[in-house]
Amino acid sequence: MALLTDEIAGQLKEEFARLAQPVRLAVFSQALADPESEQVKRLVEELAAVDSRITAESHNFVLDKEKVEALGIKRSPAIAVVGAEKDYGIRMYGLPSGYEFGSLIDAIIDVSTGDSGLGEPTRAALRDIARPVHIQVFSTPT
Amino acid sequence: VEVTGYPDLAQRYSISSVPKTVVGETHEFVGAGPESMLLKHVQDAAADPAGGLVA
Repeated sequence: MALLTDEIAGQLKEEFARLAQPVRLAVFSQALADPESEQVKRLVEELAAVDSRITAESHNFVLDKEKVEALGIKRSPAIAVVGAEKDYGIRMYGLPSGYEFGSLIDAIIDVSTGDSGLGEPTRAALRDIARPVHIQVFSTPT
Repeated sequence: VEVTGYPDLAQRYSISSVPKTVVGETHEFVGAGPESMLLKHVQDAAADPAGGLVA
């Protein structure tokens, strides 16, 4: 049974009309260790089926060391949301359900359009920051 | 980060209420806030030799 209902898939199709550049969703999982791994993989595959600009790929967190290293994946299950021309460093850990599903959809659109939605004063202030800053948002299932 | 699957992170960052945002290692806030608040935390973390970047 599909994780995305026909109704949700239809709404996503409309939302994804705004997509610009292709987006890669790279899943890293280890089926034996994570009960949620299979669901994360299926969710991402179903999202890729909604719009051809979204591609799904799946890697083994333990075995595919080169990919894990290249995308800086720290844990499993993980989804890396990567733009065609730029990796903005967006990673989601765990199964994005409930409210976090919306965060994943927003991340896909932001990466595809290359637009964070931040205001100009914020962007100007961020341009003055000379070193990478790691931001983590922690949530629980809703 | 859906934190229920990562109890080590919940402990490391003392997650009791969510959503909790941690910038760098030590600059944090709970709940939602204006864009300016997040920016302030990012600026503070970037300026803090100890609390800035970790992966």
